[in-house]
Amino acid sequence: MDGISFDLERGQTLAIVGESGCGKTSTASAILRMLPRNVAKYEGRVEFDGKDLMTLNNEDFRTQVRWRAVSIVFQGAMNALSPMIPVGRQVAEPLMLHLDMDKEEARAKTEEAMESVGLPRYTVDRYAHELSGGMKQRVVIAMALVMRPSLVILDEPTSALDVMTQANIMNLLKQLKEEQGLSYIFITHDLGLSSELADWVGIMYAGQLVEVGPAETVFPKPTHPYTQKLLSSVPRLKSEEKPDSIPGTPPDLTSPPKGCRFHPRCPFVFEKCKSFEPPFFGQTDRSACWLLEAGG
Amino acid sequence: MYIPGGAEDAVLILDRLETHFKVRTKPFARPLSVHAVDDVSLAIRKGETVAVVGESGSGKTTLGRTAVRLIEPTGGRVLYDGQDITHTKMKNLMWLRRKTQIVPQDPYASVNPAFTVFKILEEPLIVHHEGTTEEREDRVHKALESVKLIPPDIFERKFAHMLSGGQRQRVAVARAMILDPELIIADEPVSMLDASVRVSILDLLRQIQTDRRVAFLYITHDLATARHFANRIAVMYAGKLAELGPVGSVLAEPLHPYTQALMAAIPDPDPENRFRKIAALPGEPPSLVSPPSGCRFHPRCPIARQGLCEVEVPALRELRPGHFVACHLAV
Repeated sequence: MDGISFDLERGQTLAIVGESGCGKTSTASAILRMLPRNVAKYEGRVEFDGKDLMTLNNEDFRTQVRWRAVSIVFQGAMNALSPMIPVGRQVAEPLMLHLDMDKEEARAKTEEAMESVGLPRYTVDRYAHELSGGMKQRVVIAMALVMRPSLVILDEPTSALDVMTQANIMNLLKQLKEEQGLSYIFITHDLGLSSELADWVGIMYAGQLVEVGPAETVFPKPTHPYTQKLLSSVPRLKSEEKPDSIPGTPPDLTSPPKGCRFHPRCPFVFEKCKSFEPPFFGQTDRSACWLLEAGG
Repeated sequence: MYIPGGAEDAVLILDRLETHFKVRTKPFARPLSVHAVDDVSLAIRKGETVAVVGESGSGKTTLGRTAVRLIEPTGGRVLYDGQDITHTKMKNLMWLRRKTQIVPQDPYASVNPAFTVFKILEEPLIVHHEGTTEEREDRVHKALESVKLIPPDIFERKFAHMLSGGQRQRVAVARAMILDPELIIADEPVSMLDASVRVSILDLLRQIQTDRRVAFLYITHDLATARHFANRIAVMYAGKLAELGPVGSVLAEPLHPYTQALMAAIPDPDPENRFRKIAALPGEPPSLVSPPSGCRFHPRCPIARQGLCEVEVPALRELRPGHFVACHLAV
């Protein structure tokens, strides 16, 4: 992942959409400094609530930011619940560790968190195998919310679930956003699903953001050719429009193509694209594409 | 025999098919039966694609596997080309194994990691004693070309780990095609793939269908891909058919409340989506060990009528031409 910049206002949701291997999950992990130590090289700045997070040392970051200010729901996290410990204790763990709560207090808080995600209070005493997939996913969301963070990163939060369960979880996320004024960074490969939450949309390709803009303009009128292709590849349920596939495959990120990384697959490619990397053009809906130079 | 939607020109007919599994919750306990497929009648015509749509646990995969006797039915009949194969001995079914093929869901699990692509594709030919070494080589090349793994002499030497998910699924499609089958059971063939790759695999399947007139039983949970690939849609809920009809008719006017909810649950990209609540069904699909009485959908149904829906099992009724629904209240 390379040169990613975006900003997000309180109470807003940014959806990051891209194919697998484009660096979506790495972006999420980088915000929380959770990439493996041997590969990660962090450069640039992460600012949260006006504070520069890059200046914090690891210990401060762990105690002040991770989970307390910014939490994450990992892809497939529901399968990472321990089978040996009641799920309530797993949700309560950060309360006892970070906030030094005693058992009763932590339990009360956990029951509250369970209720806020639509689970009955007694769920705290259940083990993971006693719960269905949708319920486990709710537990994992409760876990991310229990410290009352203001930003929650959702990394494919519904990818292992059935369509109906997925719809219920999306309803829950919408409701929590409204009630608690949460901000989300919602990572997904599903454009249709991203529109359920996104106020802003960021499209990633080969480790870079190629287009960022408000949902109102990106979904109906994307400016980057990749976004256009991606949108026309979505099979629509409510219209006759035939989906169209994108020719070629995403590039190998160990040696990305020179110039614009999308140029080998782009239908509008011209000379400049092959040697120069495009900067962002446009005002609210910004796209990294040479076609848009001089007002496009 | 009554098959909703008719059975003319059918390659496969399922007549009141029933598959129950016996499970024991404790050793020596009386076994319980799981009603995975219950009283399903359906025909697939030559060259037609029927999409079987439902949530996980609705019995759609069991239906697909029972249809080619990879799972033994416990009731009803399976007819292939008019011939009853429900009780035919396995050793007399080698011809069926040639005429029906499967494209499984997970291309990471379904191709042998120790085989080269060539060996994967050659194996069915060897099993069915097809051709000489040279002829087989030629057919493998043609199969690779037909699934757009070009050039074939490069791809045939690769192992599965050297291929992307989409390429692996192409190998699985080529393997299913190499014996020139008449019917392919495609069990969620694109659900593990990226959105942009999905379309290209579905395009490929459709092209194979028109070129060779292969019939497909397309098992999926995704109505959107079903719309663009299937001719007819069969919606399953808790082991039973809820709705059956031509794609256009079912999606333009879903008659069963379950189909309506399924359609609402799948969003098209639209910035307005975030301001509304999805009309999703609460709760979970029922246990198939003791399915609900009457209409199996009644505990989750938003319009269930007391005294009717939990008492009487709804029959499939033809309310529009070729469009059937199992709901007391649909009109």
